[in-house]
Formats: sequence, C-alpha cells, structure tokens
Amino acid sequence: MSDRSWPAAPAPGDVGLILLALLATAVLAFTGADGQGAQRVVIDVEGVTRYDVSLDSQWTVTVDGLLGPSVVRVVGGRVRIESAPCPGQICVARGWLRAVGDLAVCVPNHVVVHLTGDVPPRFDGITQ
Amino acid sequence: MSDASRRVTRLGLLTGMALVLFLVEASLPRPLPWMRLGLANSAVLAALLLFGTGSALAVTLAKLLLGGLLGGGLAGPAFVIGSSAGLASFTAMALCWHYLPRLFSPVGLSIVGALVHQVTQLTVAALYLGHEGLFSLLPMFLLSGVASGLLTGTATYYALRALPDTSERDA
Repeated sequence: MSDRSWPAAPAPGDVGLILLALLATAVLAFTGADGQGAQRVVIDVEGVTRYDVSLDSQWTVTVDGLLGPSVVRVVGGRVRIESAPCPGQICVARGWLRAVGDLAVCVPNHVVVHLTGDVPPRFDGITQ
Repeated sequence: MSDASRRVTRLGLLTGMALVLFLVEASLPRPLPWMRLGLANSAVLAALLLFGTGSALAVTLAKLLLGGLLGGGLAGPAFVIGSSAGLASFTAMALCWHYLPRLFSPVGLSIVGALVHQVTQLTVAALYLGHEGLFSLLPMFLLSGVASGLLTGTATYYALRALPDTSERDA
C-alpha cells in the first residue's frame, strides 16, 4: 500500500519542468523555418511524392489516398488541404501553408502536403 | 474484503473512471483538432500514486483497449499511435515517481506524462508516414502538452486531496 505522500504542488521540479518545456518550445520555434523562400508545393501520398508544383500557380487537385480523395488547393502563394475523407479533419483545420517547412498532414489518408524552396542561408560563404 | 477482491474493485473503479473521462472528453469541442486534454490520464496517475505501478499499468492497458474499441477500432494508425503514446506516458510517470519521488508533485508528473505522450505521438506518426518534416509541429505539441498536463494534473491533485484515506477506512 502506498503511503500517500507526495510533494505539495507546485514542487520545484514542476516549475523547472514547465520552464524547460517552454524554453524548448521557444528555441524550436525560432530555429525552425523562417517563413521565407517557399517556392514549391510537394504532395506525398502513401510515402511517394505525387506532385511537385510551383507555389505561384492557381491549381486545385484531387489526390487519392488510403481512404479516398483529398482536395488540395494552391492559390495566391499559399496552399491548403480543402477537404479530406478522414474522421479527424486535422489536416483541413491546419489551414493555409505559406512558409518553407510548413506542412499539413493527414495520417489516416496518408497524405502529406509541404512546402519546399531555397531557405535563405543563415551564413555567408566566409563564415561557413 | 480480501486483499485480492479489494484490488480488483479498485482497478475496476479506476478503469471505469478512465473510460467515463475518455467519453466525456470525446464529446467536448476542442479548440484545435490535435489538442486533447487527456483527462483519462488522471485515472492512470491516481492509480499510480494510490496503488502503485502494477495497478497503473493495468488501468493504462484497459483504457487503451476499451478506448480503442469505443473510439474507432483496434486497427489503423490512430490506435497504434495512441497506444504507443499512452504506454510511453505511463512509463515516464512511473519512472519519475519511483526514482525521483521528491522532485515532482502530481501536477509535475502529469506534465511529464503529457509531454512524453506528445513527443511519442509525433515520433510514431513521423515513422508511420516516413516524413521527418512532421517534427516542425513539435513546438506546438510541446506547448499544448504543458497546458493539458497542467490542467489534468491540477484536477487530479485536488481530487486526490479530497479523497478520504480508504486504506484505513475499509481495513
């Protein structure tokens, strides 16, 4: 039988953990893609790249995933999954993608939409 | 009551609690589709703190299995991802409780569980899709893990404090 004793909240570890997690979130968020230079829309279906088109086009495509058709729309330099046959609709709720590294994922339908492009180099030729 | 029947009763109660919380949560609207409170985790945490690792593992397994059946079946990626995350989350909380018993309050343990849940979920999804780009979602997942772990942990903390010490009462 447990002795039913544990530190009162907030314990030092609680506070440390929250701070650490927030710090990690901030660091990861700022070292990620910086929102510039997105040029191509890549659509992977079941692990295979099915489309690779310019982000500057106006284009709607229906791709057939594991469950059925997902509709992807490219317009005005951004792209989104417009509809999907999955129960969660997480990919649709992801909304518009604009920056390099942005992605919308539909796990049930096995469809991934992401943006690629020349990310501006962080270092020039000398410091590199 | 004998020790064995008392144990079965407790496990049944905690599992029932986990499932009710699971269903209540499933009927709530979510601020964002990938954000979940993980209320059922408070039953696992309560089992761990009150009755130890074995009971908490039993509640975790029962929750995953029955939740999977009620939710959307035992086949498919959602169950695999959810189960891996649930087991990893339980393991992390149990290890912290046993090896670092003075470091975290139940609220901290709950946050540990939520963070490990989120990272495992993302890792398994990335493996399943073969797409490491998924990790760009990590900051968002960590942030919602802190928030949900804090909320469910606080709820569990006060629930445990309000609980009479049954180990003495029914002895």
